[in-house]
Order: sequence, then C-alpha cells, then structure tokens
Amino acid sequence: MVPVLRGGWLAMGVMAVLSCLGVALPGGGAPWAGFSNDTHDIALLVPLGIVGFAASRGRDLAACAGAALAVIGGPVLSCIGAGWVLIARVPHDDMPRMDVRQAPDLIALLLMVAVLVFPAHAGWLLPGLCWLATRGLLGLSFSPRVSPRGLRSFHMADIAAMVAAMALWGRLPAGGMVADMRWGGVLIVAGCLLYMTASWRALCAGDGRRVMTGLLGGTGALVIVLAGLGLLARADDLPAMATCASRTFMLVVGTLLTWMFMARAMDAMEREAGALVLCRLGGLGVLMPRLSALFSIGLLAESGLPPLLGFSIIWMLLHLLAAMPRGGGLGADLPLLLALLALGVGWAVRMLALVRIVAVMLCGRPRTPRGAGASDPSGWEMATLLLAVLPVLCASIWPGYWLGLVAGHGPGGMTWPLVDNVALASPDGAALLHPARLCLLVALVGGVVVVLRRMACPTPARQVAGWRQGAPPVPPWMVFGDPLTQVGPGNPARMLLDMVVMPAMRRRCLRDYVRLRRRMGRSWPLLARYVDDLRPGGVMASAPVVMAMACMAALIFIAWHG
Amino acid sequence: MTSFSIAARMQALLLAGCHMALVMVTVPVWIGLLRWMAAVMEGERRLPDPTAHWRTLLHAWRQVGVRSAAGAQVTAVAPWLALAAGMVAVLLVPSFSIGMPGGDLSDVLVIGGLLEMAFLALVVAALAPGLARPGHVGLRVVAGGIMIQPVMLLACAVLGMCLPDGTLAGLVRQAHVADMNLVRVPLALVAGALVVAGVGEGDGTTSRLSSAMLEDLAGPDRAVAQYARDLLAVVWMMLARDLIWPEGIVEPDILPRAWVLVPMLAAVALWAVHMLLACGCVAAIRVFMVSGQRHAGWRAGLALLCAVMAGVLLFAGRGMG
Repeated sequence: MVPVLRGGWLAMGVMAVLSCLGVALPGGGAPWAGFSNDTHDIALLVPLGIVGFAASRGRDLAACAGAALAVIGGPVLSCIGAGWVLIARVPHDDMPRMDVRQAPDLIALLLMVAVLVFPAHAGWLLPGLCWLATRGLLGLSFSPRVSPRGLRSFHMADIAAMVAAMALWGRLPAGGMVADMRWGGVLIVAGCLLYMTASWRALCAGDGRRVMTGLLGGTGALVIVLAGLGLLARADDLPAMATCASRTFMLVVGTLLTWMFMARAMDAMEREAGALVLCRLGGLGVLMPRLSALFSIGLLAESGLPPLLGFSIIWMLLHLLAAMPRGGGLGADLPLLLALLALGVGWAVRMLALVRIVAVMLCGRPRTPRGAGASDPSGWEMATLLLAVLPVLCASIWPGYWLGLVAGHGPGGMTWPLVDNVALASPDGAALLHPARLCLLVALVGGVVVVLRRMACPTPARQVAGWRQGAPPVPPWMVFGDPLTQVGPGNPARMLLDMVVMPAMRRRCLRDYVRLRRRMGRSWPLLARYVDDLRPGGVMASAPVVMAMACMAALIFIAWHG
Repeated sequence: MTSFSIAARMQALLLAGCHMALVMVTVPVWIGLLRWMAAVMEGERRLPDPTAHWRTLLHAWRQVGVRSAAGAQVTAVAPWLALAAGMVAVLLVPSFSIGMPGGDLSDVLVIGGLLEMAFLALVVAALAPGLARPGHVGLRVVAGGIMIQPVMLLACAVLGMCLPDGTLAGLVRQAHVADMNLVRVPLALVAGALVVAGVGEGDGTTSRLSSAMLEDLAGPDRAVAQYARDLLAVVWMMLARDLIWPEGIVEPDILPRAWVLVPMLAAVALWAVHMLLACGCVAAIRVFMVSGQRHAGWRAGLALLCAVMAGVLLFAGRGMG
C-alpha cells in the first residue's frame, strides 16, 4: 500500500511542477467550491509531493494528505487539514497525553475558521489566532526546556506540518492598517525570540532527531518573522518589500527539500548505527564517509554559511529587516537593533548546535559496538540519497530558478525560466547576491587548493594509532577507548553558559530558584485540590473527539450565520 | 566581446593575482609583528623579527607528515578546506585596489560567512581524532568565537544603511565621491567590533588553546592549519582597515597610462602602514582590554556592545540630521 501511495505523491509533485511551468493539464482545473485556486498554493504542492514520495511510514503519508488538504482547500478545509496533520503526527504511545498539548491549537484552529469565514467581526485577531494555531505545526515555543514531552522526534511528518502551517500563513487576508502594523512588529520580535529558543533547544537536546526538531523549529520561527514582515509591508503599502518577503518565504519552502534529505539520511543512519542518542554515537564520519559527506552538505545548507541556501535566506532576511519602515527617533529604531541581535544570537547558537552534531556524531571514535558496526548504505539506497541531495544543491546554486518555478506562470504567459532572474535582490533592488557566482568562486579556489596540495605534498602523511599522553591503559571492558574523554553532547551548552554567567553565580541562582519553588509549592496543593473539585473524575477527552467536536461546532456556527 | 571588456577582464585578473600574492606572502609577517607588539606591550624587550613566523611555518612544512589514525580522513582535508575558504575571503577583501573579479560579492556577510567556515573547518580538524585535549579545546575555542555571528549581522545592517549596495567595492566608490565623515564613527565601531570578535591572535590564552588544538597534526597539514589561522586574523584586520579607511584604496583606470603604477604603489604602501596600525590596535586590545581567564565572554560582550553602539550612533545621527 505504502509504495502505491508514494507513487501517487510523486505523480502529484510532477503535476504540480507542470502546473507551475504553465503546462495545461488534460482536463484543466475544475473550480470546486471550498477549494482555493491560487497558484501560490500549487507551488507548495511541489515540496509536498517530494516529501510524500520520500516518506516511508504510513503516519507520514497521512500527515502529507492533511497538508495537501490544507494547501488546496479554502479557509474551512485548510484548517481541517491542519488539524488532521496535528493529530496524524502524534505517535500511538503518546495518544492519551496528546489532548492536553494539542487542545489549544485545535481550539485556535476552530476560532480561525470562524474568523476567516466572517472576517468583518474580528478580522484583526487573525494573525494572533494563526500564530496560536500553527504553534504546534511549526514547533514554536518560548520555553528553553528540553524534555521528551515537549520536543518530539523529527520525522517526515514534521515537514508536512510545516507545509500546512505555511499554507495557513499565506492565507491571511488584510486586516486593516493599524492592526497589521502592530501584528507585524509583534510577529517579527516574537519570531526572533522563537528562533533563539528553538536554537537553544537544538543545542541542549540529547537525541539526534530532537536536535533536528529544534533546528526545524528555527526554520518555523523564520516563517513567523517573514509573515510579520509581509504584514508590515502590506500595511505600509510597500509592494517591493512585500514581493521580497514572499520570495524569501519561497526560499524557506526550498529549505524543506533540505529537511526531506536530512530525514532520509537520519533514517539511514538509524538503521546502520542504532538509535541516534548522542551519548552513544561517534565516529560516523570515518565509518560511513559517503553518507557523512552528504549529511555535512545538508548541515551546511541549514547552517546559514555561504554558499548554500541557508545563507541566501539569512541574506534576504537581513536586507528585509534593514528595509523595514522605521519611525523617526532612536526609540523607534532600537527594536530593530534588538531584533537583529536576538536573531544573530539565535544564529550563533544554531551554529554551535550544528558543530555539536558534527563533533559528537561525525567526528571522534565510536562509543559503542553497535555504533562501530555502521557502514555506508548499499548502492541503491545511496543512490536515492544522492538523488535527494540534488534538488537542495540546485536550489542553492540557482535560487532564482527555484523562485521562478514556484512563482508560477503569470496571466501574460510563461515567465519561467528567466536568465536575468538568477540573482537575489534586496527590497530596494540596490544590493544583489549571485549565489551561482559565489559557488563558482568557491569551486575555483577550491580547485586551486586541491592542485596545490597534490603538487606540494606528494608523499601522504603517516598515520599513527594515537598516543595516550600519559593516561593509564584502557581497561578491557572499554573496547573503544574512553567514551568520557571525548567531546560529549553536554559540553557546548555548558561552555556557552559559562561564558555568559560564572558557574558559581549560576549555582547560586539555581539554588534560589529551587528554594522559591519549594515555598511556592506549599500553596500549590490547595489550588490543585480546588481545581480537582471543579472537575470531578478528571475525565480527559481524546484529541479526535475534540477535533470532531470542533468541526461540528464550526459547521453549526457557519450554518447559524449563513 | 569587445576589446575594451577583454582588457577590463585581463586587468581584473592581474589585479587579483597581485592582491593575492601580496596578502598571502605578507600574512606571517603581520602575525609576527602583531605578536612582537603584544609582547612589547606586556613588558618584554626584544627587537622585531618579521620573518620569524615564516621560518616557523616553513619548518613545520618540512617535517614528516604524521596524523592520528582516528579520523584521519577528516584531518587530512579540514586544514586545506580552511585554507580554501580563507583564500576566497582574501579575494573578496580589497587591499590596495578594487575592480577584482567577484567585487560585487564583497558583502560583509559573505566575507564573514567564509571566514566563519574556515574557522569551523579548523575546529573540526581538532575534533576529528576524538582525543580528549584537542577536542575539548576545540569546543572552547568555537564557543568563544561563535558570537561573531550577531556582530556580523549588526555590522551588515549598519553597512547596508550607510551604503546603497552594502559591498566593500561600493564603499570605496562612495568614499571617492562623497563625504564619509558622517558615517565614519559608526563604521569604525563596526570595524572594532569585527576585530574584537574575530581576531583571537596576540593573547596568551588563545595561543595556548590554538596550539593544543593542532597538537595531533605534524608536517604540511599542521603548517597549512597554522597558516589558515593566521590568514583568518589578517583578513579580519584587512576588513576592518577597509571599513575605516576606504579612501586609501584606488579605483583602477582602464585607460593605458604610463603613470598608473604610481598611485597603485602608493596604495600598497598605505595598505602596509594601515596594517601596521591595525596590528598595533589589535595587540593593544588583546593586552589592555580583553585579556585574562574570562576573555571569551568579555570579547563577545564588547563586540556586541560596539556593534549596537554603531547602530545607535547611526540612527541618532540620522535623527539629528
């Protein structure tokens, strides 16, 4: 069943690409009531089709179906699709506890449907409702805590959830100038802070998949920032900035291809090296060199270093923030500086999280026999991974073509491909970035260095087994060397904290916090007893029931007003 | 293609070759002078020996290549990767003349990103063998140097507000036609922030850390890693110098003139003087301002403060203007 569904997703992706290229499909498009006819929505189906084709679990495919409904549906159907994705992502063993976490999102989705259908009453509330509704889909949270409950493992379904959330954000109608300006500012600041906390969660997570979830949360925070910038541009009537924001939005859609590749690579790594717990991994760069090289390309594309796609996004985002309409006076400009500072700190922490992944997973020596047995996947699987990384590289080198593809065909005919469109431009059009030229420059100098190395170092270096530097001999039960002396997953976060606050001061603050919580805890049971009295039996409704009730309530509401 | 554009391209390639040769040859000289200045400021009395660092690098190059067998594939590549990224950054930062190929890419974000990539490649070379000391030292170094990124973002934003296209070539062109005094202080603050956050040279603790990072390498790989590290410091200083004194860089003229070499030579001499000044400033910052055990935190804090102050000054200046 799963291969057939994957084939269907591939066909859907191909049709979406053809539709974006302006090819008239046989039969044409039938305008159904309740479905959207926007070409931008069709563009979101391109990465979704690829993700669906690459998905291997039934749950991921279900999430893709929900995301497709969110993309092509009208206001009501897209919210139903988003709710579907929320429920489809939760693993079976976590189902009983799910309702507590998903209930606010589902309620926000319900309210969003109501406001989208009747925007005249509370249309100004829409951005806030959309924020709440897409909180779970984008993985947004202000909490820096890393717990298995709050930070789920990264799978293909999370990418589908991100597509659904992007579809919801792309569907916001104009809500009036003042409201849009205020929401724009709030969303930009909140997005920068969310980026910072998501990066911190990625830095502290103890599992490779959870680290990826934290990094994906950073991408989700960028979606919020871009939505805020789009609202601001619309409120201030700056069409160039709005166009630039939507182009950056589409570049973020392009990074979903990177995430798809990363999910595939992590699946392969998990099959080879066991569960991706960072304390037990190590030395994968030597054990599986080809897969690690591809994985490093993905990490580089996510890191925001030149010349790959992440850098193009950071560059565009920086120019968008610098082009923001600013009120007079220093007080009005300071928030921009602080937002940039938060974004930059988040970027630095994200980079440290990536260095941590490289240091613990790819570098060093294996820490367990299970991990030491890993090797590169076989030919066909390696070929599929190579195929998965190709779209990332193409979108990185020629982002203009990717933007041309997803922008669709205009009413005047085909506008793709345009050769003069390969550069990325800032909102005012003064600053240009040519990623292809940058890649060419890097490749040229890299080639020069390779030739220099071949000519200057004809004899290879001698490899020695390593010396113990005065340490006692390794005990026999520790066959792979001392795992504790290698760089561990907990080191980078602690080093960063040590840089900010002295350890003694940190200990003192922690002790005060624990004491305060204990004092607060004395009054807590009284409140808990009071709440229990209000809800006898403590019956909790499950999420599907909540979803069904929400849909029913939405239908009743619509029928009542319609 | 007309003969004019062919001549322009040839001239750009020639300029790039001269620029690369000038910078790559003088890198160990500047680092040697910087270390000598830092030592003199700390109270040591000795004469400068500009070629001493060159000799050290050549000695390391001639040694037999040895590396740890664990992670050997990574340690064999990482120093050269750092060198390549540093060389691309050198190509983008003008020293005495603009008009080199890739001049339209000389964005601070691009240059900073390339330098950051080189820095991380060096750290990966230390982490790859999985040994205790180099690995932990590598992590300490990367945690201390990672705060260059917010500084880079703020610097790029400030530069984008001062200039239309935000590139160094654009800055030089504007410096030749417009009055730069209005934005000189913010640009100087940005340059200071980049140097404080980016250059770890000249400090005793940093030198100890970097030598511990490379202690499992010997031979050409070690020499290349050391050279790449020095190259990074010099490129940060060159970038700061270009932000503070963009007038010192000449704009090449395509027309064949006999005396075209004179301003070029003057610009090279000016560059050398400015680099000497930059070395002195970096040594003074290292010795008098951010030294000691907790230098990483101070470095990051001071750099962020300088970058924010640059933005505030720019906004305040605009508000008053």
